[in-house]
Amino acid sequence: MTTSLMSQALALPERAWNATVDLFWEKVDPRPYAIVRIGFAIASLFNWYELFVRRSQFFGPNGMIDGDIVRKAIAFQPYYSVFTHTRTDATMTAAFLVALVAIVALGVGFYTRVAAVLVYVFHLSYSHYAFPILHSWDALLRVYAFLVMLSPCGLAWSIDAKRAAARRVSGGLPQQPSIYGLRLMQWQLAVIYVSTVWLKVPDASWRNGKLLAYFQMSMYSRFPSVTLLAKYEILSNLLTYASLAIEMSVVFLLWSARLRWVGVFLGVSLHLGIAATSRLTVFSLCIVAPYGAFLTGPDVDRAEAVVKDLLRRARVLKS
Amino acid sequence: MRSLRGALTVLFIAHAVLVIGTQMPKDSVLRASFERIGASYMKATGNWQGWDMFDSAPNYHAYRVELMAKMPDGEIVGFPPVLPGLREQDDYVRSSTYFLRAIDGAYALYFHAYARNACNEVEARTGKRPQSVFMRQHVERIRAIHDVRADGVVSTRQIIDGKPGTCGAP
Repeated sequence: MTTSLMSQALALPERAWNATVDLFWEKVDPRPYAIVRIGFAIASLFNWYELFVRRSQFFGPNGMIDGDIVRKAIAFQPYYSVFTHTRTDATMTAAFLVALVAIVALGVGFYTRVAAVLVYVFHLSYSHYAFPILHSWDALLRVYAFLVMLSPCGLAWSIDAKRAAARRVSGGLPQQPSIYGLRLMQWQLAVIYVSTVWLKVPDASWRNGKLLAYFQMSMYSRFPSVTLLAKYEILSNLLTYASLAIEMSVVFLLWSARLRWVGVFLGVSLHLGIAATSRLTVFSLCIVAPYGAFLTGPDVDRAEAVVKDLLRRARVLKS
Repeated sequence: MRSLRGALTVLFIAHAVLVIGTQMPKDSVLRASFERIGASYMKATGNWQGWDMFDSAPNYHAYRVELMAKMPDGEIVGFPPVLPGLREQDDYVRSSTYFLRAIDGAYALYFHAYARNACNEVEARTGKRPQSVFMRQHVERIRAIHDVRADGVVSTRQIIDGKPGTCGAP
C-alpha cells in the first residue's frame, strides 16, 4: 500500500512534466498559423511602405539618424542591424527591397521559412538602428517576427502547401504542425494586454475617464479639431472605461472556447475604432494579426462557413 | 525525439518567463534579476519590449519643428527641418516622435549628428556655414477639458527652443 502510494507520488512530477511537454507539442490544425502569417505579412507590408517612402530620412547616410551615433549608442550591446552596414543610399534601398520580396513571399507562403527569417532580420535591423522613431507597433512586429520565424507557418493557405500536396504520393497525409508557436504567440499577446492595463490603471486620466477626450484633441488623432468628447465628457468616460475593460478581458475571452468570438469581436472593434480615429492604423493591424493564434480548426471551419454564406448571399443579391 | 522536445519545452518556458519577467516595474528586484539573466537574450533576439503606449494623456494638439541656423553674421534664419534636403516636416507620426525625443530628450545624442548634417545642408543651400543650429518647436498644448468646454479653444500656443549644436568644420 505504502509502496504503491510512494510510486504514485514519485510518478507525479514525471506526469506533470509530460503534460507540460504535451502542452507545447500537441498536433493542431495548420490554418491558425496561416492566419497569423498572412495578418502579420499585411501589417508588415503597411509598416514597410511607411518606412520605405521615408527611408533616406531615417536610414540614409545624410538623414536624421547617423550610423556612427547608432554604433556609439549601442556600444557593445547585442543589437544586430543590417543598416549599420549599409553606408550608401543604394545598399540601404536594396535592403528595403529584399525585405519587400520577403514580406510578400511570407504572405503567400512561398519558401515560407526563408521568407520568415528575412522578414525577422528586417524588423530586427530597422528597430536596432532607428531607435528614436520606434513605437509600440515596432515591438509588436519585432517580437511576432521572431515567433513567426520559429513557427511552422507555411503548412496551409500557402504556395508551399500546394507544392507539398502536388509532391505527395497518393495516401500521404498533409503535415500537422505542433502547437508550440501558437502557445508562445498567445502568451505574448496576454503579456502585452496585461502590461498595458497595469501601466494605464494608475494614471489619473484613465481613472477619471478623461483620456479619450484628450486623445481626440491630440496630434495622434485623425480629427484633432473635433471636441465632441470634451463637450460630452460622459461619452469620454464610457469609451475610456470600455477600452480598459476590453484590454483587460480580451485575452481571457480569446482563451475561452465558448467566448472566443466575443473576444474577437470586442478586440477587433476596439482596434478598428483606434484605426479609424487615430493616425496609428499600423498599430491596429499589428495587434489584431496575433488573434489568429487563439483559433482552433473548428473555429476556422465556422468562420469559413460564415464567409462562404455571406459571399453566396452577396452573389444572390447581385444577380 | 521526446528528449529533444523536452529540451525545447524548457527553452519555450524560459522565453515565456523572460517575456513577462522583464515587464515588471523597473524598480522591482524581480525585474532586476530577470534582466541580469536574460537582457542579452532579449536584446539579441529583438524580444525587448515595453507596452507603455498612451499610459497617460497626450499633451500636444499640434507639434511642428523649425531648424534655426545662426549664420556667420549672427542673423538667425529658419529652414524646414527634415534631412536630407531641408524638407518640410510631414504629418507622419514618426517624424514628430524623432524631434520630440532628439531635442533635449532621451535621444539627445542623435541631435549632435543631426546638427552636423543640418549645418552641411544649410551651407550647401546658402553658401555660408552657420555658427550653430537649434530646433524651434512650435507647440499647441492641449488645455484642460473644462476650459475647452467653456470657450471651445483646444490649445495654447508655445514656442520652445532646443539647445544649440555647434557647426564646426564641415
